[in-house]
Amino acid sequence: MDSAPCLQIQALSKQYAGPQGRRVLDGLDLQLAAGEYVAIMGASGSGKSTLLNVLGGLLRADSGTIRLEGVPMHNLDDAGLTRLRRRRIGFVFQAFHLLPHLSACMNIALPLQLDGVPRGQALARARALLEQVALGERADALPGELSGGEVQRVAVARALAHEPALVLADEPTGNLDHGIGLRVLTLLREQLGSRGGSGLLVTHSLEAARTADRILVLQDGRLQPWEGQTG
Amino acid sequence: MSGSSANLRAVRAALAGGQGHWGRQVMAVLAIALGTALGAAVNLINGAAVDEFAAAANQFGGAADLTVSAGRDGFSEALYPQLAHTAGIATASPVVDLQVPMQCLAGNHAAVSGAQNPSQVGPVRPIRLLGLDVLRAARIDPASVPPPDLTRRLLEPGQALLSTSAAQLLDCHAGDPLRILRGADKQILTVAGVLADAEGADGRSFALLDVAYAQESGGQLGRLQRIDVRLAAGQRVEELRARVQDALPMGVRIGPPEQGGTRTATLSRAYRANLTVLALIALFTGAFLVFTTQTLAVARRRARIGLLRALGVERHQVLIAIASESLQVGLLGASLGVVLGTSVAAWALQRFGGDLGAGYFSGSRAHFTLDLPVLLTFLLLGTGCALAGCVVPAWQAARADPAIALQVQERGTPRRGQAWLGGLLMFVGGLLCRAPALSGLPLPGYAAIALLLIGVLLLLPMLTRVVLGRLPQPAHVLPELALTGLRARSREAALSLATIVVAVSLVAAMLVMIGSFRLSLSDWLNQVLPADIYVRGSGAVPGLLEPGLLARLEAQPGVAGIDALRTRQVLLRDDLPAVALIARTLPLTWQHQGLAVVAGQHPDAQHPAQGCDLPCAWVSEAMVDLYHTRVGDALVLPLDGQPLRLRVAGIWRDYARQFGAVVIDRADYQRVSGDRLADDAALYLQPGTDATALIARLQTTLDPQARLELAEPRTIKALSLQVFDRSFTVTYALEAVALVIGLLGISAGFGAQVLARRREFGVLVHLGASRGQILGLIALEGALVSALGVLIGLLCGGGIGLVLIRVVNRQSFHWSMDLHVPWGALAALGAMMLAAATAAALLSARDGLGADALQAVREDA
Repeated sequence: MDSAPCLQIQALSKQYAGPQGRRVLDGLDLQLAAGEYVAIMGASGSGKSTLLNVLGGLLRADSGTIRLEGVPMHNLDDAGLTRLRRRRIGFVFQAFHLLPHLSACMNIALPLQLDGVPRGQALARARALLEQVALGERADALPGELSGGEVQRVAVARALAHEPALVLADEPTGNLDHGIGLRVLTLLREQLGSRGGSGLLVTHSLEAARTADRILVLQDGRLQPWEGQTG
Repeated sequence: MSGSSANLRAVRAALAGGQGHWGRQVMAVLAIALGTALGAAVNLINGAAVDEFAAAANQFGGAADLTVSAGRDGFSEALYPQLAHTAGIATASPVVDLQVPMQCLAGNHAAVSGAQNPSQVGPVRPIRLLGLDVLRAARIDPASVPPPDLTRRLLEPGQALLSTSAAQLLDCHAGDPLRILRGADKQILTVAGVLADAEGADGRSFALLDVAYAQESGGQLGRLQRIDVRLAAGQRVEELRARVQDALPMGVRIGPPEQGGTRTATLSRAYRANLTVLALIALFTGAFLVFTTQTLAVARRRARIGLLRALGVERHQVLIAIASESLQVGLLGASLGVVLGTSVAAWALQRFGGDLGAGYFSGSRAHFTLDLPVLLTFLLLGTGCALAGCVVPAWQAARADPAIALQVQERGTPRRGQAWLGGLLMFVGGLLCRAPALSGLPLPGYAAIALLLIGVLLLLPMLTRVVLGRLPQPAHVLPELALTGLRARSREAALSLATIVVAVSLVAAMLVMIGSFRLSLSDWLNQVLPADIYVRGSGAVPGLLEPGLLARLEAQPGVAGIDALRTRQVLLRDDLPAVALIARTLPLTWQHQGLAVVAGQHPDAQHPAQGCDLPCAWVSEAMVDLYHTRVGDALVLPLDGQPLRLRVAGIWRDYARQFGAVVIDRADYQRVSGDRLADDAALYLQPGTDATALIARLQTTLDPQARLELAEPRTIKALSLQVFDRSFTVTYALEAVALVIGLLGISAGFGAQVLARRREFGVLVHLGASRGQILGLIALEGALVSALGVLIGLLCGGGIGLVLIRVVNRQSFHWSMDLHVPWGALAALGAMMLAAATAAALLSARDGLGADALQAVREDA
């Protein structure tokens, strides 16, 4: 890709404490162009979740640099990381993690409200996003009243509510059946594409990974291109 | 090992470790320990005090078959020879039994002062003065009389024997002169010897005299307090009792010797029962903490329990496994509580005495004894409370459908039946408030309080849901999140509320009751102390004011008038302490008040009582409760063996005597009794006369032999309120414990909820919420829940306070009081609890905001 990089990771390392502390990330490098959508695969325990936590500013690496839109995340303090996460990073989880007592609309508006956007404005934006994920009619429904696919579409809308530069998706189809899972991934891809956002998809499913621009495999603490990749 | 016990062990092992943070288990143990400790301590102290008082009362005469008595004032000694010659009586032993101030004139004091001025020597102490005919007393109970050498000396004129404790209190030794302060100065005895304490009688202070000298020294010439009786062989007790009772003058009773001790114990019974109930409420609060902890622990392990049920574990095994956890908490807490309670009781008996400062048992020194039945009872009660606290959660866990339990976290909604039951219990509690006392104790009132409290607790989920549902939707994200979250978790919120509601209710109720009582007492003191100076004395006739002295007091410059007052004791019932007969100048000429009349006519000079065909009498509220006396009734009181017929003209409030008082005109009293003495006098001064200066002048100009006690009403009032405050000190300690348990409850509830909501907080972190925002959210929820708990607690406490005022106190002490709501104190309580509970919620929330929260997001739902 020719566009300016959205995410630049250089020599990222992370070892867990303890006598048998394992080095899960070992000089990892990655560059993600703006608007690029990359899938990362790997065996269980290979460090995928650690990588997502570090990229989300939830966990600090031992060494290496991370720049999101040129901002050196590795130099930010906790408050700076929280601000960055609130404004430039979105998350989609395997277990959806909508707050059960908030309506679909309020769940989507929540990140905006946490960032100080007035309630009315946040709810209007949430309703617009619900229309885009074809759930405009279910705005006031509680998560418990929605199907699994609907819940994950709401989760996708929530991840996009604050127009993030990067969306981190952790096994987003793991709790969905095959067809619905693919439709959610397509939706995520489309919405990201329309906004010029980048995406990092962690998955065990090759079929899910194939929806990405490229597929990388996390092995021995480093990312390598998937050998079966064709495009 | 049997198969079933092995299975149970496996179930317990599978459930172990999932109850939540160990700190919450510790809190539950502490709560049970505190409640048990309070209950055990209060009972041990009360038991020791009553035992000691009863033992002291029966020390001389306890072995008698029957005892003839008539209260403090006693009866004519002419009864003694009649009784001694009654068929069926083998021995009759006359007894003088008084409480009088004594002072030692020699010993160390004489050495220091040279005994030139007797008023400066030796401490003055109230000591029990016992007069016995030792030869006759020995025939009834040989063990109770002194050894022969001391007995011989006691028969010599002017000799007294002191108990070891009395000798220590007075700093007196054998051979020292001993002055009886109720008598004139010539009443100086010699300490013939010091008696070694009998087994178990250490600490009892008394001076033993020959009965004749005791009569003279105590100003009881011709009178006795008691005659102990030993029956002839073959004589049936009941037959003789009935026969003698018929022949006795009015107001003199014959009964078993323990009757006197029972009457004394009755004096403080209501006070002791109230303390016990307060301690039990603290234990009850502890049970609710166990309930909260266990309910949340069960909720946390819902999926695990569901899995066990799916694997074939039976309902009763789940039930037993969870109950055994509470049993451990209960046993540990109750054991700690029993140990703590025992230590507290031993310390409090040493520090405050057997009545914890209330003044019921002054003169006796209770000693700590390890009362195993009491300790065992509280061990069982503490453990039982912990078990009771787990019944509902354990039952719910056991009966839950495994399939549902395995799915999602329970989002319970209050069951309609629960709210109905709560309402019903409150209604029944209201009905019980109208029921009379049982065996002299306000048991229906206590039951009403328990039902009111349980009813409110059962209504809590519904109340929480309704109140939270009606609050307006906030515009800001954190309050909105807090309110929305609490609405969704109203049942869990109600659980967190339970302990704080109980604690605040208890404290608010006590504040309302004590505040009302104190202000009513203060108003009453203002009402009954209208004079400028009050006089009490011990003149030539011991302890009483003679007519000559009264006339001289009235003739003093600056004195406008005098109201003399004579108090006698009349025994109306065997099972109750004596009633006070108060003769004073009526109608009340010098003051408009002076008697706090609550019904009937006022004995006012300007509006003389009408319609009294017999001498008018004003009875205290206790007479209404205990003897069912009403305005207009005829009342017959025994006075020196003669009936005194009276007509009840009014009812008055008396905070000084809880077993009844009757006020009559002094002229009527003198006409019947011929007694012209007075115990007290109230002086009304001419305008512009300085009371303090007059007191100083009276103390120097009057006969020094008169030794008058003079006081201004403000001094008496201050002293009375001081005694009042001291008697309620122990209740403040109980309230503080209840508040601590309440805070532990809210801390435990919130801590468990935060742990259960780790995933929610983790998601908020992912969405960009700062730690401060999440803590703010928890603080808001804590404040909202606490505010609701405090509000409900204050309302419930107000209701309980009313029951305490109108039912429990009235039935316990037989006096009414006006309701005064201490708004300031209640507001301070509410603000303090709100702040403390919010802080407790925040502190307990820190657990849930660590790396666990992020990990929880990664776990599958």
